[in-house]
Amino acid sequence: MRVTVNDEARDTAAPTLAALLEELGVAHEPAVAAAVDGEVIPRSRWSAQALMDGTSILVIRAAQGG
Amino acid sequence: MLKFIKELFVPSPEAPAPDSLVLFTPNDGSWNVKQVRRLFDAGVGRLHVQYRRDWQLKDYEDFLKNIPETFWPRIVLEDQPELVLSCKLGGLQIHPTERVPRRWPKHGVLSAKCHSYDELLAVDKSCRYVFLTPIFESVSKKDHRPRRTVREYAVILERWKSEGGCPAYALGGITPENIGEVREMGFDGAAFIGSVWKEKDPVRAFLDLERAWSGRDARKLKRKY
Repeated sequence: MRVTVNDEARDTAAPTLAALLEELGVAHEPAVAAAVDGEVIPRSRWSAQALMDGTSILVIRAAQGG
Repeated sequence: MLKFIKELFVPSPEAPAPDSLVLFTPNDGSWNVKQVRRLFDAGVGRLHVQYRRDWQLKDYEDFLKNIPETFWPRIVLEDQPELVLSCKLGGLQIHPTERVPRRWPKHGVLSAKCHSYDELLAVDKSCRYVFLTPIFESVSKKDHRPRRTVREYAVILERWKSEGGCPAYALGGITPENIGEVREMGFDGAAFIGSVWKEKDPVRAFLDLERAWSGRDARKLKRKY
């Protein structure tokens, strides 16, 4: 399926938000937040959040002192 | 009725100072929430809570519990982006190489801090504002000196702006004595750490900085400080 990650189209087979963030290599970073179609999804719900074709995902990382 | 009488004796907060004057908290335990409350009451318009290695989510939540919600939109974090979004805080400081998503919520202003010209070049110009540091020798950190001259910073800013860069704020060693120079260099705002927190009265110190920056356009205050 094709989703949008931070305004860029991306083909993925990740069925959930957790799987997609794993694919992006940011799933285990502590200062990451994600929103699906404009709704912020708490980390505790990443595994339950299903992705569909056309879903728009926002991923952002805090500076953490940088 | 009792609530009404009580409210009569609680001074209402001052109007906010320009949010281009940013106060950073120190990144250690040398400040407290009572001071922050007083600073907000006196009109601090934007507070960046610096990242602390010893703080977990609960520490940020406890901090927020002690700050009236009316001030939350003035608070920016360098950590806990979920908290920024769920509590509708004022913003999030991102890494200079991070991109700004177009659909990011408007309340969560994104900013970045750059320690060099190379870092500035990497910043997404659609950040709401960017800090450039250190401009002068740091008040709070020994041996934290600027790598560029005042003239070089002015040239950097001119180029940054001509390329459509977002507003740039000076950070590092800003005092009431040199804040005029910051304006002359072309900065759109200034940020403070040691020049406020190292002073005996941080509220007074912030107001002195604000007055020095604003000059005749300074805010009219309801109370004397």
